[in-house]
Amino acid sequence: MSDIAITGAGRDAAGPPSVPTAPGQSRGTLWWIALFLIPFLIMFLGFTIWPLLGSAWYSLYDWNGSTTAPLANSFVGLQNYTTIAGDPNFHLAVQNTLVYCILETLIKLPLTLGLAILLTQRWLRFKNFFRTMFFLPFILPVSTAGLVFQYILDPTNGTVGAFLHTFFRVPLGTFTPLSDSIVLPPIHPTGLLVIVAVGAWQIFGQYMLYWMAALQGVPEELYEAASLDGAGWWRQLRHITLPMIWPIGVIITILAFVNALKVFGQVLALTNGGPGQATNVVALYILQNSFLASIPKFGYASAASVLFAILAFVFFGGQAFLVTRAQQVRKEYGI
Amino acid sequence: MAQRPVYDATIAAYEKLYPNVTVRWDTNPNQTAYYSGLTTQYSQNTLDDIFFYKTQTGDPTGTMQQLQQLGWIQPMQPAGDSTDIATFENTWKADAGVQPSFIDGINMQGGKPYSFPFTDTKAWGPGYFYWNKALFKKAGLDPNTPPATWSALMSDCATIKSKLSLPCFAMPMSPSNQLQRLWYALSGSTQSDLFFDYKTGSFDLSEPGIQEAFTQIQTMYNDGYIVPGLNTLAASRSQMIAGQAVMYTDGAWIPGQVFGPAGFNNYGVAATPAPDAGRTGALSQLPTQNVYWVNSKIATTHAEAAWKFIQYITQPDGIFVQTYLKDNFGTLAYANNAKYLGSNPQLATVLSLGETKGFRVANPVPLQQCPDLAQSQAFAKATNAISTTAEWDAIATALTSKSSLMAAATNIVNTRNNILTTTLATEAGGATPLKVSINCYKFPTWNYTQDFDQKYSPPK
Amino acid sequence: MSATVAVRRRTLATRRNFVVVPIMLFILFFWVYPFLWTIATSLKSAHSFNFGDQTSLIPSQFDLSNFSTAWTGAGFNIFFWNTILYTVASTVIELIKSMLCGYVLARYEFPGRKFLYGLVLGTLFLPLTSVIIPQYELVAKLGLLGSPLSIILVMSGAAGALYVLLFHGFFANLPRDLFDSANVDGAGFFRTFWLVAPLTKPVIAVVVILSFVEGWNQFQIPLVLAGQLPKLQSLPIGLYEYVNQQLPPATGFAAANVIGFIPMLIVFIAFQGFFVRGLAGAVKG
Repeated sequence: MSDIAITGAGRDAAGPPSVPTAPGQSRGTLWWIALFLIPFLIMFLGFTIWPLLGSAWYSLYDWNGSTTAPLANSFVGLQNYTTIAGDPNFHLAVQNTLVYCILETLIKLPLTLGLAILLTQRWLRFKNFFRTMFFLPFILPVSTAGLVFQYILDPTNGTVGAFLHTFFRVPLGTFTPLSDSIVLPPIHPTGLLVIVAVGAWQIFGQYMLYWMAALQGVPEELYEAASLDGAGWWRQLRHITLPMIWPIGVIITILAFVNALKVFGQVLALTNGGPGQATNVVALYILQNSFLASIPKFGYASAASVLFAILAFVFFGGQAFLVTRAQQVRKEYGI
Repeated sequence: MAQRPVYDATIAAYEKLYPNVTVRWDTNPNQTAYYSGLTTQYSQNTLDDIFFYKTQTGDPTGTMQQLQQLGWIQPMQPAGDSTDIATFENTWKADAGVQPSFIDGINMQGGKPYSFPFTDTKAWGPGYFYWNKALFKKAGLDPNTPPATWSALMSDCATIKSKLSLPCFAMPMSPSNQLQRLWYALSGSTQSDLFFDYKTGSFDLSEPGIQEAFTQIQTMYNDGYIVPGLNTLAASRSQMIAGQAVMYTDGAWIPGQVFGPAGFNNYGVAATPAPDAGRTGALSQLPTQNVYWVNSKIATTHAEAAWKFIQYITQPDGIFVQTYLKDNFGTLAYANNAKYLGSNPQLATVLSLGETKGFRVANPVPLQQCPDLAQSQAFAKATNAISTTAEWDAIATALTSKSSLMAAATNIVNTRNNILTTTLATEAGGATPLKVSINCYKFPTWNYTQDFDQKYSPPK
Repeated sequence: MSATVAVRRRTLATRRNFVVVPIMLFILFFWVYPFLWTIATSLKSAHSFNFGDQTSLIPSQFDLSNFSTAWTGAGFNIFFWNTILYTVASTVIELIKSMLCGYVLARYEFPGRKFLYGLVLGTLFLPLTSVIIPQYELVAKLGLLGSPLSIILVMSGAAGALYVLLFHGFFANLPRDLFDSANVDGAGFFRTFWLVAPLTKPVIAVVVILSFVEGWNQFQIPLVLAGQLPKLQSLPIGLYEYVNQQLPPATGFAAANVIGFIPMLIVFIAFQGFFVRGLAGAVKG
């Protein structure tokens, strides 16, 4: 689950740049263009565009997948959508997903930024070692990270329970973060906090590298000049580092939010959405109604898929505006 | 999986008998993946000629109806086959006159069987209590005396907790419908193990018996007698094998599939402890759903071979019966189980518990009361309209948040009941009216602890 | 004077390191604890784990058979090679199709170019889950269910937008002179492409790394497409199914997990520079 932005995605948000050079386009060239486009177009149409339209089409049918396509007589119009609108489990899944996005982003971004600042200090020793170690969780699939934490947090056999028992005299078996609940709306199940923590732990290294890339773009001379002026590290941070990296920071933040929407693997591994439905998320909700169901409800799950795609698009589209703004600011600063 | 040697032996013997036929046995340890896979396989024409299917809608008697609506099945006996179907049916003994093996609307239609009862329904099912004898002994309890009442259960658990520092009971809760493993066992001693109450003809979680069972589970949970955490089925079974839990409730298949030969003497099996005031309910016996169906898209030559194979494996003294029972994989509806069952003392106990009066009782079958229910969508709609696991979710939520079951459950059962009654009413008043009503599901004279004496219409 | 400053700086740096490095090491212990736990547990015997040796990082009783059980008994040899096949095949497909498309999108005018670019950009953040049902139906209609090709195709079709935009960004920023001089030399379409293609090495590195990580960690696609067929499962899904269907002891899980992450660890350490530049290059304009 890598989440990456691309060079100039924001800058080009309004459309592709004009073609820098257009060598004489003969008939042969057009053939070449077609040939070059075909591999991508086939895959793109087959696995992105058609599925988008397909989801919308399926969502209008009461269809369980036992025919190769929905039958005309199973057309139900918008009924799947009205059912979803009235399903408290879906509401909870959306709420949990949003809570996850916000919490996970709020945890990982400041921490990764702080660490990145530390790891780009010239005086620090063993930089590579530290960077490697903090990046390490990224090599575990997030579902696998969930499984590992399930063992570590096991109330009876887990390390955390044993640790609390040894050092804080917490009775063994009473530390049950996956099934407990707290009164802190909208977070009731503590399992959600574990899901957030595991997600942040796993993805940490990636955002650390993002910030380090941003920090390396700050010209060294600025710091030297500030040092000569007698500015301490705090003032350098406030007046040089943060303003300089903030445009990229916006992109990183958007990435963080939008990609957190996809949370799935560790939820399945840690709580399977439970206890009950307490920690369910949208991606798992969709699969629970399709591939993880004994009787798939492909039509219904497709309606949820369409809503999910819209949610992601609103997140992305709404923030693309901010990116464009950030890019302008970035240009003003000349970085 | 574990059962492969049984099928391999059977297939080898069969292929020797019919050298021009090749039989392949497919299996999948992941049940959900198996069922969702069937759907695709059918649409892709890759579904096996004979396939296992158990209702997934929550309607325990509607499997054949559901499969017919999907168009997946055809009679087991191919058209033009000359085998005397009566001979085939006579292999099965009706269960003490209460539940015949072949029932119109359940596994027969128009005098043609679509499936045959596979596992037996008296002994084979959920609701058994298992305990670790060595740990009982270690805790100073008699390893051969399982708790018979709920208060004995609580006091044994208290002893185990203080002597061994173990949480006593393994209970899976992730996903929430895994709670059925404990739920069936406990609610089956207070009422019936279904959320649908055949006495009142309604989905009901407010019944005193149901509430009593829930309170018992909640007390055990709050007192720390249940292994803490959000455990999966695999985790709970592992805890039992690893000696990290002392008691566990699950189906009759545990000795054969989980404990294995090595565990025959380490574990005991018994009926689940009963409420102190005595049992007011029993486990449900419904026409078996562990059955095989014949693919409707089967080729003619395959249909003949499939039918021959079905007749082959259902010979009461055939090689399949002998190997299946010898390896303790289950008890069969068409065999003398006691005769061939392997040397597993636990399964012997399971068999005798099944014979005990009032342990598992024949539940009413609404289809018998109203044959038109075979065309009704009402029950399937009621169980599918909201999440099929909603009741389990409510129980899990109530348990972990230490709250009452009623708050969440009222909504769920009201929704289901509404859909059931309104759909039945619509169907009864439609253009082609069905003779159905909510009364089809009501059996007010039935007692939860006794076999329902149904006047079964003999198969036509 | 300057010598004194340098010395003072060095001592300041030394003092800072003296404080910071131990703190970092302390934090790191907890940070990588899940890995230490996994490695330690994979070496323990199941019996000793269940009875008192759950938490120590040095096994009281070594049992290396966990690995052979997982490798052959639980099928992790199959999952391992499957994962390599899926990862490598989908990376190659991703690379070729996005490079070719990114090139013409950036350097040539053709009907619908702006539209295509907008479409690609618009699907950049499409969550996989929202399109997985039709993707599944598509490979089913192609008759590919049960074949490794189904997983490869969906995996290489799933993240299409990102890599195209990466290549597009690179090609669009190449100096015009390069193409002009190629033109002057009379190079045709393909010759021109062939001339500039080697310049994309940094982007290729980014795409390969991203696609490789994505493929290696991909969970949802094999869950959906191989859920019912162990012979198709990859490491993440195989591990998940192993834990949930086969009741392995914690030691068995840990050994299987070690089998899964060691290759990736080696790749990461060997190509660390690429990882860092790859991920960094993705976000830096």
